[in-house]
Amino acid sequence: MKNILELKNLSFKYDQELIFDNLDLIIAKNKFTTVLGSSGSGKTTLVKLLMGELTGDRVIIFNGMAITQDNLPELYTLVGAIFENQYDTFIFKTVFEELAFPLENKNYSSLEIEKKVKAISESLNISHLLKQNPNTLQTSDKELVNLAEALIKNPQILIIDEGLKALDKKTKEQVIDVLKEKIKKQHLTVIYFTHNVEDSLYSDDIIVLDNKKVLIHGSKETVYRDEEVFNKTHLELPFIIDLSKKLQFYNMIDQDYFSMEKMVNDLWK
Amino acid sequence: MEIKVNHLGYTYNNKTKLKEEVLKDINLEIKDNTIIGIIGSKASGKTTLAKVLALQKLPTDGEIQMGTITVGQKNDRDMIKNLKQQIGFIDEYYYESFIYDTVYNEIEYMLNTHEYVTLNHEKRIKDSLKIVGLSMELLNRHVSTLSQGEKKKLMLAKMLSYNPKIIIIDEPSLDLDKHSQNELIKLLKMMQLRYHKTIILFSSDTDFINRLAEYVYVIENGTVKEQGEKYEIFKNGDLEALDLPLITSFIKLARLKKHAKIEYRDDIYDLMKDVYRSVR
Repeated sequence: MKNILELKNLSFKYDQELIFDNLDLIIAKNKFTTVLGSSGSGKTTLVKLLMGELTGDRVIIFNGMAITQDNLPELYTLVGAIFENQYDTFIFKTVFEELAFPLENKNYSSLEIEKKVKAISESLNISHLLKQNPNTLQTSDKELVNLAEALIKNPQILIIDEGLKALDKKTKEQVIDVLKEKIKKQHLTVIYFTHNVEDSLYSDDIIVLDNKKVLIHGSKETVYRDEEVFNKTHLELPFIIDLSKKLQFYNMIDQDYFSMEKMVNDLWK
Repeated sequence: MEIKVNHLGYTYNNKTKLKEEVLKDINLEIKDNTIIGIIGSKASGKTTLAKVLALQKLPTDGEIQMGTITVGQKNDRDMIKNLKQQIGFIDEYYYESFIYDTVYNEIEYMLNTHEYVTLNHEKRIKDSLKIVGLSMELLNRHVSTLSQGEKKKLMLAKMLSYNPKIIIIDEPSLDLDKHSQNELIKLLKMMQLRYHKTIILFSSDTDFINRLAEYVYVIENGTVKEQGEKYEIFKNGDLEALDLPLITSFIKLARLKKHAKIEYRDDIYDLMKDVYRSVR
């Protein structure tokens, strides 16, 4: 099966307001997909629908399994998720206990739990936080703890709803490298919901949510190829693409660039 | 209103065993009718500084001069109250600050607490929504059904409703998509040029600050590390954990690697013209 998530013809209303009108969403397996949308485009509502917190008029198919209220527990073993502004949901007094919690009741020995916590915290550079109280951490560290907690069960799908916004660029890029490694080696699929067009450049595929439906879907190269289609959305082009388009207009370059170094090298030969 | 900050310090739990000095010896000079950017990484102390300048917390050391009034350690309560009515402040965690159900009530509450007298309450509330670009349909909507971006605009509408002279925003671009950021930039520029507000922006988003501020302070470990015109700061400054604005990184890269003759800019069209001249 190529797709990890399929959803067809979904319409959804909050009170009287139509949020989605015949939305089709297909997400490919083993890829990093960014779902882009301006604020108010329904990103968070879509995340809630995917996580079974809200129910729409169509069934969502995750990895071949139709999600109903009855098999939600199965969904939770399949999916790890971090949400927007999830900064006060920690239950335990140390980061270690917080990370170990998802592994409890799963017949892991305490040694195995310790090993898993160590591995994930090392990969995300949060080993030094294990003994600290998660509630007193900086927001950026809280986001890393949330991410570690979502990843520790080895989910097949990771859903991120704006959950990396407090990270500086360097940390964010390290985290994305970790995720890409997991996509390659552990067959993870990442679905990243954001309004940040710059962040979409990290992904393989981009889905643009606009005007209650999916407006564009494709690889990042194809999504950004046609400026006119993109300009119909409420979003703006990422800086490097915007500059590429403007320089192409004056025939100074002949393609879109995704890397500043490459563009500078080609411009000033 | 002009603001002068002299040797300002702030210590949490002052005079107790748990005391923790967060700000020390901060000096700022903010001229009337300017837009100032104060940048710093997450734990630099800038959020505390924002709160002290907004008089949510009072300085434990040094003083703040606002216009003709000086705020120090011993202050008259009425004086502080009067000053606060002239300051608009949006917290980083603004989304936790809503107490009423509807958008209308949220803005009305602001007018009431700031004792702002209007001839027509309802018109003032509608105008506040209009100026930030929120639709009138939202007037009776429940606040919890708004998106993050709409909530942020609502905070702006609440703040502008009572017409403060000084606008202080902590992390203005957070939660806003680029389109809304552009709208906010236009709105704040208009506030400066047409309504002569003094605007102080605290942010770790250097792209946003680069497009709006004229003068920049860099805060690190609770004190001012650098200050200057924005191009000077972004050109030479050591920003540690902060990222350079994307446009500045591009220009810096071209100048360093290719000795390209292009200037530091804040606008992509200006950059394009420079590149055109330099490459041709």
